[in-house]
Amino acid sequence: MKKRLALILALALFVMSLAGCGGGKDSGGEQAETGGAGESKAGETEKAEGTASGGGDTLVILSSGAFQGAWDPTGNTILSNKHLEWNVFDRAIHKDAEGNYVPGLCEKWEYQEDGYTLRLYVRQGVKFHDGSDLTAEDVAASVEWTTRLDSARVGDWGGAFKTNVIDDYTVDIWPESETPSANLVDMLTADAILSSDDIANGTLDTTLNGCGAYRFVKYENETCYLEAFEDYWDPENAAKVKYCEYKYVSEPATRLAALQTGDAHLIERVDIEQVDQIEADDAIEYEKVYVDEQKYMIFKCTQDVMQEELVRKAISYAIDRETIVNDIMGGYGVLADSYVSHVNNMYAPAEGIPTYDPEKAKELLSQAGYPGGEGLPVIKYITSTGFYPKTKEYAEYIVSNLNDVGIQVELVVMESAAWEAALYEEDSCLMVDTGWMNVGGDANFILGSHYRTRGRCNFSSYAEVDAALDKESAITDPKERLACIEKELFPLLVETNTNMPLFDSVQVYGYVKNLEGLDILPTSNINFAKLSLK
Amino acid sequence: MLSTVIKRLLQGLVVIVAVMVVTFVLLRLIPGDPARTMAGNASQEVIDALHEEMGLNDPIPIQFFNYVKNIFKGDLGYSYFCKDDVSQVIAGSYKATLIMVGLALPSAVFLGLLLGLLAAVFHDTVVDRLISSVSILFQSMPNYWVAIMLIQIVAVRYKLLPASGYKDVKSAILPAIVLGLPLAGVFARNVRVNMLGGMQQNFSKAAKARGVPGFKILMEYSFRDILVPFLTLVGSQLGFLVGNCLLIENLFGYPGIGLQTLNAILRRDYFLVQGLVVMLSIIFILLNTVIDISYLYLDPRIRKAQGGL
Repeated sequence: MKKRLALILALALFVMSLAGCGGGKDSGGEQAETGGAGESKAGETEKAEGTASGGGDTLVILSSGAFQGAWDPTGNTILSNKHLEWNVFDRAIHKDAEGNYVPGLCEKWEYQEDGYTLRLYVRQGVKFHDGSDLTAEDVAASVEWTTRLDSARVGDWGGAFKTNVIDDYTVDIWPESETPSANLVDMLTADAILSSDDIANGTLDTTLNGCGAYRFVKYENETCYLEAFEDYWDPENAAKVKYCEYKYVSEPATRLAALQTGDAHLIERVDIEQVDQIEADDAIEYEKVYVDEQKYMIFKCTQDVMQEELVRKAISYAIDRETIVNDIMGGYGVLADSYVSHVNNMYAPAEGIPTYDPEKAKELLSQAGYPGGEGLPVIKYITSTGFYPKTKEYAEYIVSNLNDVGIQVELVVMESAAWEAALYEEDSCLMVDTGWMNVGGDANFILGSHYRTRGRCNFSSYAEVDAALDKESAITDPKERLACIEKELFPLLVETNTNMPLFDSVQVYGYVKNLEGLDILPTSNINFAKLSLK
Repeated sequence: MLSTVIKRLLQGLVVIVAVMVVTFVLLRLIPGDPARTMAGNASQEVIDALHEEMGLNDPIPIQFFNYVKNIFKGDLGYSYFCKDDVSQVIAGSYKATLIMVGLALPSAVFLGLLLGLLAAVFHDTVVDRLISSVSILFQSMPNYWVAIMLIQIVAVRYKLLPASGYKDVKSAILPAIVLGLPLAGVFARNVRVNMLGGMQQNFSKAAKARGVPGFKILMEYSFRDILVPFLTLVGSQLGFLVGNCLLIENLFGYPGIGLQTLNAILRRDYFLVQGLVVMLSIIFILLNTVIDISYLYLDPRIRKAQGGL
């Protein structure tokens, strides 16, 4: 018995130590399976090579956001999905580096005599990744699908659109309202052209089938595997690196470590504190990008004291945004002086936007009938953690700012899913902070969503604001439109003060020094096809 | 023994049903909306359509009934976030975790036994004190800090091992070290204390009086005596392992069950969380059943009480 026991124990220890070294065989198989290359069209799996920073045929990009949206581009506004779609799908019209409209999948476009119908001339010889040809039917179906009532993108377009296919390569599109649409061409530079077959067959959610420079191969373990599309219509702008792995890694420290070890070539949203580490490393660099994202304080305008403009204004004047930007954000932000980011196409300073003035805040509180904050309920303020940088830190500072003028605040810090639900609920709190990246690029994505009646988060309703929005949305001349926004809309937004813009975001991207062709757009989209490894 | 196994498995079944109910209800009680997480700042119409598609408009008892009905058909549900069946998502991520745990647990057991035995053999010497200090150090270092240090030193500075992700078994080494170190510390201390206790037992004293060599007493008498409590300890640490997989896999961007679970919770991916929790419960119960059965082999007193093998 003793000998048997001793033998069992010895064997157990031996097996355990072997098991500790085991797994290699399995993992070897796993490498071929998930190691980073894409499956070929025929479904064959190829092994990835060259994922190190020294070059090779696989580009590894780490996303800070998960690909949690629907594959159908009209079913989500999730930023990481939009970044992916930017590379897999193509758009009817492109923008050059100066922001001028240039031909994309459509070679030409022109307004018709009625002033609101746009005729699009579709490029011939363009193929979808499934091998089918792009025709006017696809463009028409895409526009109608994108602007249907339950599309996540309809808000940006300002309503539903109708289409008429003239021939295989010509199509007319116009707003159902039969009024000019200011941002129509801009929307055509932002939204994906989809296959009409995919729309008709309801297969948009099963895969991504576009005309982009990269073909979507598979999604596995938070990674999107892409492969250069050999039949891309524009050889000059075809993907330079054969494979691309676009991978979600939530931890900023992990993303940076992957960049430092050469496991990744480009990483999103570098933490401010990590910039020093990048500067100290000879193999990597960073880029500071002014993106079209603004951070706001949202007031729930239908709730309790937030119905009172004077109270909302008092809070806005009490917030020391300069300290938030300079000290808490470490200068990685731009003090907001408008209702859209300073890099937006319709940016103009909003005269009279509240600036830090605690005395004025106290005065406004007195005017509202709450001298020194007396009689005010405790303001429930929700912020997030783990989503935007430093939200908890600046929320705590905002609480101290409000306490200074006599406003009592209950700060609730939530993880992102709970915060997101609260953000869009009418009665979750009295104020909540957020940020919106303008994925479409046009100002109406922000202005229409936030300030039109029953604003998306603040639930405010002002007929005069709606009228100003209707007016600017119908002006197709950009200069006239900007003047309308600046002189007619912004003063109303200052007056009603339903959202308080805090600051415009600055994002930091890290990349290996041998990465070439990096061009980060204000919408935070990156054209992966331009990237190459020296 | 068969009756013991059946009893344990039946108890396990009750636990699994309880876990299913609690997970299902809790997920729907905590704030957050999977449709909103999925669609971002889309309009309420989009959110309503998603609710309908996900079956979230039904009353919770109906949702639970449908869920259980589908489980009996072998369908754990669909992960709208991973765009795949829950069973497929789990199948795609369990291997990485298995390799990590397969490295961490046996190594921790081996190291814990070795250090514990050495400390007991050389008790009250420098070796004992050193091992005890190292064990406490292993236990008390925050695994977040250990992970970052290992990443910075081993992966970033010396580029010996990957810092993140999973490519091959090398990718599992650093996460396994972070997972295994505190366990090794716990095991070593436990083995040392129990071995020393065993050496004070009458059977050890009697053996010594019979002239049995000290090392033999240690290995054949005391060591045998510690196996049951040691296995109990290993079993109780399985929960620790699962909990730490969530944190460690997140820190290393390691695509295993832990990371999948964490992401699923954060996104409110109801079906995936439910599937993962049920699966982890089953594994937990099976392993504990195996441990319970192993008592019968290792301890004749338990064997006798249970009516033999």
